[in-house]
Amino acid sequence: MIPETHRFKELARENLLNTEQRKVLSQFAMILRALRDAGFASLPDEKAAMEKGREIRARTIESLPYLLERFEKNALKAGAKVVWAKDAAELNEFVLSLAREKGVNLCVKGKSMISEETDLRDELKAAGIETYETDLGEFIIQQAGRTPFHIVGPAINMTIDEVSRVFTDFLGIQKTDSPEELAMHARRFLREKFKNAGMGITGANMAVAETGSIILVENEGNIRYSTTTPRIHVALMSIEKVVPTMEDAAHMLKLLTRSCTGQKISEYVSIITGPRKQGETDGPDELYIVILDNGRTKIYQDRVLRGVLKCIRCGLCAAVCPIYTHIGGYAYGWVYSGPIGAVLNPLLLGLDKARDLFHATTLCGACRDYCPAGVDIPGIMLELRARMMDADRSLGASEPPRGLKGLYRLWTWVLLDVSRYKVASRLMRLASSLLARKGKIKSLPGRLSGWTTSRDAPVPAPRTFHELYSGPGQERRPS
Amino acid sequence: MNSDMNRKTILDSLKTYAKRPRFRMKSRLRVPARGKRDLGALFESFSQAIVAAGGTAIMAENKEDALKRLKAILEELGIKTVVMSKDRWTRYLGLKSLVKASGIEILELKKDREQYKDACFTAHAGITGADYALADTGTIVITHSENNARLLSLAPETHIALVRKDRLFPDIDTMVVDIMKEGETMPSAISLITGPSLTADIALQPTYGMHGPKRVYVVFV
Repeated sequence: MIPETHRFKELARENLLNTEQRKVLSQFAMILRALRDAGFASLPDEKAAMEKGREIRARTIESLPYLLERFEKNALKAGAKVVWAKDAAELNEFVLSLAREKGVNLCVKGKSMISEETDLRDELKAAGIETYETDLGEFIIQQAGRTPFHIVGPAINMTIDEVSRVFTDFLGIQKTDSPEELAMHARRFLREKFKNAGMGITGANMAVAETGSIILVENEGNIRYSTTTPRIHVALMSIEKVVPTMEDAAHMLKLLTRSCTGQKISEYVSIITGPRKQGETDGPDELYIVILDNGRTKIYQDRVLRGVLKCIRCGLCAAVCPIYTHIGGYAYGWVYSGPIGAVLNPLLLGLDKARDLFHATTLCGACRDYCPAGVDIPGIMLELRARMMDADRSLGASEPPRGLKGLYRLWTWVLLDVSRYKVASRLMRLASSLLARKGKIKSLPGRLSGWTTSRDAPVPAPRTFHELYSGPGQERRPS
Repeated sequence: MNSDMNRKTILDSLKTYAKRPRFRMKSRLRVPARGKRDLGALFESFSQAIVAAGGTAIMAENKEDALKRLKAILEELGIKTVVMSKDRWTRYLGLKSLVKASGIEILELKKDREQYKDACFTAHAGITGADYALADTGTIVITHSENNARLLSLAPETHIALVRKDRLFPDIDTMVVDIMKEGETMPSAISLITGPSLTADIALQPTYGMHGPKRVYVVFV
């Protein structure tokens, strides 16, 4: 999809006005949090389990290349083919030429964020290869021509009526308000595709270094089909998907499904090690595992920013985020939405193109507290802001406006000294009392007006906390 | 695209900033003693979990009882055609003759892939063995092989799995230990199945039987 991250403000405003969507979002957030909490409560020691998951992800990322090597070695031993792609174009080119070479004209696809990142489906379509998303949510948005609203629930924002309209157009069915009926129409349609597809394309939730296996997590069974009926299975993964051992994978699985949907385990988990063995009637003749970099090795070079690679794409950070639960997924303007999207999209696209994403945050830290992989998203957001001011070209940040930079310098200078800070805060209070009407500041002049366009700014109290704390007539400062 | 060159570039770049692993690269294989398992309690837990996931668990007293229960399920659902796995376990139970005696057609699984697919997509039910059952999540585990193909438990609307009672394990960790301890090569595919296929992608409303089976029965023998 063409990035629209530069339109963040506009898209956010547009989405905020969609009251139906906001209702769905607040419901979604409430339900998911309750499910998540119940799911985690079923663990013998919730806190220890979280700690362990974070520890696994931290050491995995620290030793990433060595684990990738081991994964590759064992995957090859099991008969899989491993392909390394530098960027989106290379990945698409590989899958496309493979499909052509093998005479594939029908593809079934499981959900893969990597394929969204590379726009693989459009490329296949342009080459005349019929390709279907088979996860119900993805199938709906493919036919509706929309982008994923959420990492795990790509169509959760759509009403039954909207889905019904998409299906009457595409499948030629009678309009219905039963989600079950709609699902069964999709089932019948896709069953034929599963039966006849020449290639199955999936992502990979984990890649186990110890055994060379990939692990796929789902509820519908579409991924099981995609890895069973076609002659060729192509699994797409980015470099950070690896885990050291099967034991670690089992632990991460518990955290992943609980964070995704609150389930103790998803309905289906497939552990795939190589293509089918001799004598087996189904399963692919060939398994290709494509490992994509697409800018991640560059992120890896930075000790702070590389934390983003720990993410296991559970989508929980979106459900607990006060920003996401108001503006929804579309405003993030690209593949990844929610807090993880607010840091990952800028890192993958370049800071200039997505600069508003990591500024639109309350820094409340809910995403960090809930994250089963230990990604410090607020910390990374602050780091990205600093890099923006430093005009870090390697991250795609250009020189910030001179005035802004000067302002930040001034601010830093003020904050570094107590007496300067005191003077500044006195000046601020003086200025705001001049602007205030009936205890509120209704509008600020010039470039500051953004602070008051959608709400009144409060007037600071006449005395600061410091003054109250140590001033005469108050309790003495404890020594 | 030059995959080998990419591989070198990616790994070399990562290595400049990585640390060599100083942790276990092998799963720890501590197996809880089998004698200590309380099968009654494990079944209780399994049953609760699979019901929550929309499936059904049945504990049969013996082989004859299992066959009786199986027959009852087939009759109740009005199943006319089935596909069956060929593992030792289903053979031991003598399922073939039972199913045939109930007037149900067993669709033959040919080596030819198209014919085999046809059978699986047509059959009303798939009857398979399973290698493990996990008590805490209500999951059955099938390690796929020549004798237990992948589609049998996926394409038909009803899936009935027969599991040996002593294959009830507490959880996924103990199962992983057991699989890894075999020391042989991993099977090409392992499916962990927890109840019927499910989706909540339309308006968060749960619907069973999205792509996989609508009904899942697990019969312990």
